[in-house]
Amino acid sequence: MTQNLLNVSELEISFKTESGTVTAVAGVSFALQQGETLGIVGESGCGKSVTSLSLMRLLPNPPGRISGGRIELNGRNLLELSEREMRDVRGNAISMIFQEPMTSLNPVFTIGRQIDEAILLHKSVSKREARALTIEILKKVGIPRPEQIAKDYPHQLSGGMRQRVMIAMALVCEPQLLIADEPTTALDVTIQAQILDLMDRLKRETGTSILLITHDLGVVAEMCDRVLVMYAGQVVEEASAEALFAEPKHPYTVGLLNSIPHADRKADRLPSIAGSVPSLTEMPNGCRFAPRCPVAIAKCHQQNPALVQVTEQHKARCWLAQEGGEARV
Amino acid sequence: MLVYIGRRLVGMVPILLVVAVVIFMFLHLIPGDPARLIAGTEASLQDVENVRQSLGLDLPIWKQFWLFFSRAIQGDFGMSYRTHQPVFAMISERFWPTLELAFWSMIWAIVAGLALGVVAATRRGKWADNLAMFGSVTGISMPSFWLGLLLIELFAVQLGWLPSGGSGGFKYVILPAITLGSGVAAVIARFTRNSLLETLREDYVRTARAKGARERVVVWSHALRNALIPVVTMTGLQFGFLLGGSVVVEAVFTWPGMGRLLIDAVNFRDYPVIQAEMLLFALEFMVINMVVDVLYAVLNPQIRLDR
Repeated sequence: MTQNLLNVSELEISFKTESGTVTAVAGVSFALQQGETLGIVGESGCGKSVTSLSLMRLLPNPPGRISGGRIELNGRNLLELSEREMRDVRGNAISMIFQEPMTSLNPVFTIGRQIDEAILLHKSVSKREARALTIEILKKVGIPRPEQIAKDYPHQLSGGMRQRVMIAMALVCEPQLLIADEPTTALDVTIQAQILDLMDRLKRETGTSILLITHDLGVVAEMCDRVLVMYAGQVVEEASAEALFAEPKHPYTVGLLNSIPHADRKADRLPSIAGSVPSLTEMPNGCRFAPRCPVAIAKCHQQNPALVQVTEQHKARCWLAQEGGEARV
Repeated sequence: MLVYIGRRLVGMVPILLVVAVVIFMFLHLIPGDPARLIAGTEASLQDVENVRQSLGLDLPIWKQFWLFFSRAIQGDFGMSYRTHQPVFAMISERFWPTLELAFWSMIWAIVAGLALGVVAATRRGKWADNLAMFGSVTGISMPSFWLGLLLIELFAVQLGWLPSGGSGGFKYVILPAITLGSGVAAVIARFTRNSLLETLREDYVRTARAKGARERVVVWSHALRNALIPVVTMTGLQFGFLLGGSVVVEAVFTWPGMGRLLIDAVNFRDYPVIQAEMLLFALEFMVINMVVDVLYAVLNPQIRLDR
């Protein structure tokens, strides 16, 4: 068996709030192979962004804290590294792009200087060589006139261009893992497609693995090999992308899929999932989705099911799916 | 940039004119008769009237203003009533010590204020933050003459390290500069702390950390550079107040600056000296404001001055 690039096991993240400590992410485990694209899907507040930040150990602390579990990159537990060792990982072995290209670049430094910095932090090259690498990577992410753009400030670029710059900055040190947290959410639809294409192309060229955090199932369908569906801080379903779309096992996933609008099926109302995500301080005793679940049975309200293998390519956290029952609504 | 500075300089002329009119009016509105003060308490009414005539104070006020104005634009601010020296020479002699004191006060205020502000912001809620903010409140609320006396007592009288007053080399400026600058340092510290706490929450700070930059670089380069933009504006205004507000500190440390000159001038209703000093203060404020605006543009690439 090939070694996984990334192994996350039983990750637990808690937050200190005024009403005590709450667990935002409870026992999340997943693995990522070299060259694979894994999507993490879920509503806002389900813990997906927090999970991604914690992989870089960039969770703002306080109030957030990784309170349990392991994050192994090439077999090395990142949670045991010193801050100095961790700095060598950030931007080098793992790098990250964020949702907001408009605010993620420093407004007072030129584009070139910001990418140069990433290079100089991890490679022993001169400033002149760094700038040459910067211009090369800008060209690679499809920035026209890279020599000129390198001298520009972020406010002189459009959102799509800035996200290209962010991708360039993330990829310039050839990371093994790229974490993309809602990379296209803030962009126009046409630009979204361009950015996704760019990420896909660069992944193929460099063999970088991608962890794609999104709430957009369309993006998942286009990009991902495997998908993790998160709900209220837990993984509720894990499957290959084809299996997930063809045969969702968890009622929550079914609900998500049903709420995608289709141009060919004109409905009066878009189906939605009734109710809202439970707050972290008032987690239900049983299955966390049970209060909103249209097919919940008595057992669902009493006991939270475990994430178990239901078919070869599929794991789900649902009593009905485990009993071979039909999760379809 | 140069065009902008030129435009701003030209724009100062009408403002100075308005300031001159206002100062002139107010001076003649406040009670106290310079002619009587010059002639002395024993002088006869006739003597006082003679003095008044010789100073031109018997003329209609618009004529007095015209005389003052037409000379002033040629650089002639008249003679002091008190010392009978040219005002221009008196002020230029006193201007440099005051500027020197203000300059070192500002250096102290910026260095101490920024350091305290950064320490407080990066250790938010910890004892270092509390201590820095306690020091800052103390600095703002402590009257400068008292701080000055305490410093003299400690460093001049008890320890004997520094002179208690007068002027000479650099060691003479240390205590007055700390006294004058501490209030401003306290304000800068608070501003820097709050501004930095805000910028430390920005997305680009997270980006810098995600690159693998060390925390020191994240704070001092990425965050502070942005946090300074509002701090610069405030600091510029404070510098203006420093120039004017050095009156008390100059008295405590017997510093030969404009502050003391102004006190004497006001006591003696020395109109020419007061007018010239006030105009100079106004001019300083305008120059400082311009420098602040230019600095602002240097710090913030989104601001273009040439448009």
